[in-house]
Amino acid sequence: MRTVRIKECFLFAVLGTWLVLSALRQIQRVKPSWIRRLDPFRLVPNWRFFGPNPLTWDYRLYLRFVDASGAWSKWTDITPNKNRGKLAFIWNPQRRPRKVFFSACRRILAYRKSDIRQCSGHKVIIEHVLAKPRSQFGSRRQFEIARCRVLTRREEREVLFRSEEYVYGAVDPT
Amino acid sequence: MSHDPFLYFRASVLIASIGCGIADLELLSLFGSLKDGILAHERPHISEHPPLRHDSRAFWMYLGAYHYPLTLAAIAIRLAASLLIASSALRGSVSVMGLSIFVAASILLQLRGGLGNNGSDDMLLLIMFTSFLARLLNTSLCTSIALFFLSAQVSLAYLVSGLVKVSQTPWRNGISMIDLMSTETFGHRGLLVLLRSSPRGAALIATIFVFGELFGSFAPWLPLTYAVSLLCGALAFHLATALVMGLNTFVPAFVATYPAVIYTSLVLYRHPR
Repeated sequence: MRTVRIKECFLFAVLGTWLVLSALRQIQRVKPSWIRRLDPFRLVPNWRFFGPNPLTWDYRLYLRFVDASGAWSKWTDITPNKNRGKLAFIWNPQRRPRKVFFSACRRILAYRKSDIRQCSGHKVIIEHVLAKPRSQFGSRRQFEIARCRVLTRREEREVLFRSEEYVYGAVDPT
Repeated sequence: MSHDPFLYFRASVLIASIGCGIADLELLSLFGSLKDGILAHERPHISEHPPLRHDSRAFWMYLGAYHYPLTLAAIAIRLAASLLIASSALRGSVSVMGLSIFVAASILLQLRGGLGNNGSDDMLLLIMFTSFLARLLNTSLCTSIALFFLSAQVSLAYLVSGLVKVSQTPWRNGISMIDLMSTETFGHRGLLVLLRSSPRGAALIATIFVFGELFGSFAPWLPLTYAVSLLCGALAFHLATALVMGLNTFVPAFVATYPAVIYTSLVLYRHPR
């Protein structure tokens, strides 16, 4: 009988703590940093789906490089996995790279420009940019992040961030 | 209706394991991205956690399935565990071994980085970790506590999601809905045209969307008839978001909590057997 009570008390304490932390995480005034410190496995959820401010733009990633003649090329769209498949309601793996990319963009845009190299989102993007083959994209590169609305009839596009120049093989983003 | 908590527990675990299986198959299909695509570069957040800093960092990074192809191996193991859990749930019990492997692989993958996880992945992990604890302790009361916990979490999810939207005018008047539908990521060209042609219709759909979420949060705490009605509405909502926005894994992730919601309602209102 005592063993049974210990089991139940243990589970009640664990799940109760988990529920309280989950509730606290939803309050915008509570900074999540201390909750994250208690939660190395990131099991405390965020239930604010698309709220309060939903995604209202698509982000696009463009790359340009110095070509053989020494001139900058035109901007090339290298946005990861732009399109959703027709079967996305049952099979939608592309949502994951898109989510990582969007989160990285949001982090970059919210970060101080002077310390941008310290931004984790910047590291994600710069690694993606530098992973592109040298044979196709040269060694000196620059990227820009733009926001756009492609589903509306008139295409709206606005450049939000332009990086400095990076040289292939000369940057360790870590 | 039966008041046996194990029955509702098995149903929850079965649906969640199907959802986890789909999520892991999707991740495995992106194996190239895990090697050199953008998913490969999501750094682990080990340095943010003081207990895991310094000397133990390299150890956790390797153990955390950080390097390709260890990441793939961890995902494949988790997929196999999901299959084992689903097959055991169909046979009338839930495999402790399957849940243990699932939890261990998930811990490694969570340390590695989010892999583009969204709210559905959070819910699936929450169900599986709770199920692991409940199955390990394996008493009727522990299973009931786990089911109540899942009900409370899904209730919190719908409540928070509804409250943060209902407080915003653009959500109530349909502008946020139109803006969201105009994105390539979550939008839908046909629905966008429809919403733009009828702002009142957009406001009505947005209101149903937001208040549907709010009312959904009451489901576990109401008598069974009301709970089931609200769950049917919530299911329709998740199917619609899967079709329109491509949020496919939200369907099994949230539907997996519905057996727990029904059990909670049954117990609270003591319906005759």
